[in-house]
Amino acid sequence: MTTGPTNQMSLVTVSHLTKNFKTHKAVDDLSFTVQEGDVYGFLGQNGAGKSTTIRMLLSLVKPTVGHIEIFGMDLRKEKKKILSQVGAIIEKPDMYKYLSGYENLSLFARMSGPGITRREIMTQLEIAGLAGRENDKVKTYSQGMKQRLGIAVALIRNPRLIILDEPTNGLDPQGITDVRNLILHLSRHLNKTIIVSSHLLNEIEQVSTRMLIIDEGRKMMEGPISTLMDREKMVVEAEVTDADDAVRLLESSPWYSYLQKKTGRQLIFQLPEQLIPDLNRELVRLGIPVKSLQSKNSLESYFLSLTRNKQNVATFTN
Amino acid sequence: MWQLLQIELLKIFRKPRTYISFGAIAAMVVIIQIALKFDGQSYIEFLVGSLKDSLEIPYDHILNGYFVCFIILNLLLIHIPLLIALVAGDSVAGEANMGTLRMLVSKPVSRTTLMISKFLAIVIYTGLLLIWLAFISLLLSVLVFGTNDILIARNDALEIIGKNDVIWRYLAAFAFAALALTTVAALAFLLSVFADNSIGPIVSTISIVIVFTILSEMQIPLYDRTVKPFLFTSHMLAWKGFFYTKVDPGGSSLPGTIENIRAIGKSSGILLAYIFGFVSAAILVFNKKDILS
Repeated sequence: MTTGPTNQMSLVTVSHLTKNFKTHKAVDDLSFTVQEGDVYGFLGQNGAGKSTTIRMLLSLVKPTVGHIEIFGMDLRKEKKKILSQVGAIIEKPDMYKYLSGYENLSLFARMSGPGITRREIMTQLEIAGLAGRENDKVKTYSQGMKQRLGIAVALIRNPRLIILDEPTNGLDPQGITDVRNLILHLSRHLNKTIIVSSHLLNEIEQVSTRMLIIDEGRKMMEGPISTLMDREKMVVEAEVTDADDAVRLLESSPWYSYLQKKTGRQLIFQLPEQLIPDLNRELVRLGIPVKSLQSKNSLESYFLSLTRNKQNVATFTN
Repeated sequence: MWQLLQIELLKIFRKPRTYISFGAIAAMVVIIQIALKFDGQSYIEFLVGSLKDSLEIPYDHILNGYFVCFIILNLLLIHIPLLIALVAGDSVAGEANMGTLRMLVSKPVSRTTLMISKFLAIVIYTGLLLIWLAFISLLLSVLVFGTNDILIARNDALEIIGKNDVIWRYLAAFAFAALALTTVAALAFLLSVFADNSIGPIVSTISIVIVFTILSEMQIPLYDRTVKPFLFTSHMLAWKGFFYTKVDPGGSSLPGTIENIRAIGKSSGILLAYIFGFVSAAILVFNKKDILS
């Protein structure tokens, strides 16, 4: 996990973004801010609205309502200026399979403006680990090589903002590690601002400085990773034999205020880490038969607990 | 724009599918040339029908390179639109299918510029396909069959154009054919914007061309004034007008003349209007389109 720089300026400001596809609301009144230097993790289950939001950031999809400002400019009015400083991979990076890796990279670089040299393209291909295969057609590349070529396309013009939508999709463990290391390198050594979406929560947890969780197009939680990983807000799942009975017994106890919800045979509490043993003792004292007690402090626990309770909307700030 | 056009041309001409059209045309032309070389007399007899008894020109004079080229164009210019649709229908929908459309549109290029570049590349492809057709149908036929006056069969009459009065007519006919084929390309281009794979627009274009061609050829008085004049297919064969000459009182063709230049001009105008309409609509729709592929 990394920490974000201080005295940052807002690079991306999204305000009340909404996207309707006929009767389906893919994104619902979404607002967030990405600071310069952030690695901004964008989390959500499949269909949560991540890709639609990212497509709106890249002008691929037009918002129904809302406003996007990038580098202090309105995306609707200054699209070309903004996109010339943005590199992106949207889902899997599809290339022209009948062209070589070099030709693909050259083609996309030239679309962003003139003045790209063969040397610059070759350097980028070397960074992507594709030197020696640059003249082979992309249809002969492995999935990992295609992904690396996609990242090379995103980085070729030295963009100020990099948007990676599910960059580890379809990669083997080594490929996933390579992408993770690349994100950390870009952030730490080149001070790039990166928005990275994924459903692989561990990946986001390891690279992000800030994150946003969305579900059904709505913001569930936003804030710095350090806040979300706060040990004062541990999630504790207690498995009991009768959850209704347990809640009735807890109602008269001061520990009831820590109870977040019950699901089936589980009681879910949120409380500081040092109070967990005391909670255990209290449950036993009240005569609640506890079959197991699990505490989680990972982002995954937050993500899962939040998406199970879709009404629970909270925003953490610095 | 020039940069984008170069990129679009690279994409078209590096794609193996592009060369199917060139290969298909070459194959069809050579097959026709072989048939006419070995059995041209039967074909001419069939063509002139009841007028064969009054024909004073020997068959081997009639069967020359210019005549063969005219036969080839008559047979092929109805079918070449199908080959044009292969590339034009793939231009946007094929990119959507490959997943490259989102890569293109997320670059700092306006969608209008992108679409104009794509269409110009298709126009260049169409032009090159016609140049290829001209090369093998005219040049190869002239090399194999030689040159002589050209016999044009019109309804129940025969018209003879002197061999020195032919080349400019072919150049004009090929230029007009380019316009006609560009109209089909523009239609396929428009349909391509609505689809996420190229099969739909290609098949739709071919279907529309076939239906419109049938309507254009049908001899039903009701449609003659109400429908036919507005179908682009009714105007696509106006290239033949360049081979219809004015005649002197004795019935001989007047060199350097065209019987009805206004009709050709009108057809050109209608085809240009279609092209403008199809391309404008394609750009308009694409500018409003959400790229979800």
